[in-house]
Amino acid sequence: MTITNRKNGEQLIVSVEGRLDTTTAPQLEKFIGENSDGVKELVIDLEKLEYISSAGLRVLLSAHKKMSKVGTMKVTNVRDEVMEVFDMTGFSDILDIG
Amino acid sequence: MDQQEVYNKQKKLSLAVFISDLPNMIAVTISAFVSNSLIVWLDFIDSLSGIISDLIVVLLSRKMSRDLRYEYNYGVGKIEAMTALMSEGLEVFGLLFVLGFSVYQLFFPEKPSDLLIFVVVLKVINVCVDAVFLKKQYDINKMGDTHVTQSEVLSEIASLLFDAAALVSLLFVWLLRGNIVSWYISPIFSLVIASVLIVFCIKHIRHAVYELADKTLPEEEQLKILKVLAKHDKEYSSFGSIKSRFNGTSVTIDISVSFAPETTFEEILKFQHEIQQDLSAEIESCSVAVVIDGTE
Repeated sequence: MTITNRKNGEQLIVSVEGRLDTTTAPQLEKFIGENSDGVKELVIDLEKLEYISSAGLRVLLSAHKKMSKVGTMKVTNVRDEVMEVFDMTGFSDILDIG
Repeated sequence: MDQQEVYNKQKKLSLAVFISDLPNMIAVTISAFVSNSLIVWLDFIDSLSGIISDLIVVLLSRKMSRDLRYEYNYGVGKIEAMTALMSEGLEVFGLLFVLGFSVYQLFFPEKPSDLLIFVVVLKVINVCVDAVFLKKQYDINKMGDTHVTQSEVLSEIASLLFDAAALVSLLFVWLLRGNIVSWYISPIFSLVIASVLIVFCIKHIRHAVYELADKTLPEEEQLKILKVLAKHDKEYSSFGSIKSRFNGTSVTIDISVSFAPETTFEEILKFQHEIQQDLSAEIESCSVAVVIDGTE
């Protein structure tokens, strides 16, 4: 998994590439934890994300909860296979997907 | 009858079985050395394993009857599995020796000891005592069916069958003592019974290991947990972690969350209840604990 990011003032755009599973999820969790101070708008770009497991969903849930207290979180460019997981688990109802 | 009373009765009966098994154990040990009969050595191994198991059940029932605050105490299954693993492991070890000696005695048979009649008398007493304890154990199990009482009923049935079979075979050895055939009865009987007992012990050990080993929940089940959390998204303010595992047929899920300061105690209880209810509907035989990290 590769994580790239871009910061525009209070907006942080995190792009995730590859697979978000048990092995790689802690890496994303750590990245968001270390870089989200002062961020009011977190955008997670999943254009190049091929697969998401329950471990990946946990990271998104945790980030969603954290951001809902200080600002907003948006998930963008979700592929069909990942969207299927979001729909199945009800994450498509709780996340702001654009 | 409530579970505490059942455990109290179990404690008393297990203690009685343990105390009554002690002189029997001493007698069997002496008999085994004196008679040098493989059947009696087999009995010695079975008695030793039984006495260790009895002792653990006494301690376990004592703890259960004192600390029973909830209907199902956490970890009872594990303690039972560990008990089975230890006593069955010891029994298999001893039975393997008996198997080896049985084969050896088939090739180099020995004349049965003249003192065998004392062992026959001892076995008659054993069978009578076993029948009494089985009846009492069966009554306790009828009052309250728990894992401990169930396994004790099986253990009492096994003791009775084993002692009865040993008695019959020792009687044959005694009755045919003038005949060379009697030299082979003990090793053949021991070979058959030890093989059967090993199969049962291995089955118990496998079951105990299965009960003891914590395994990760399959991905499909983990997604179900997240589905339930997503459904109740508005009711908690932050998400800590999910710790899930399964052993045997039971699934344990610990969910750690925290709540907004204005959340009332009733709302937290309602959330806890609904999460448990929804997860139980999604995952069979699951036990859910909602760990509250606190309010923010």
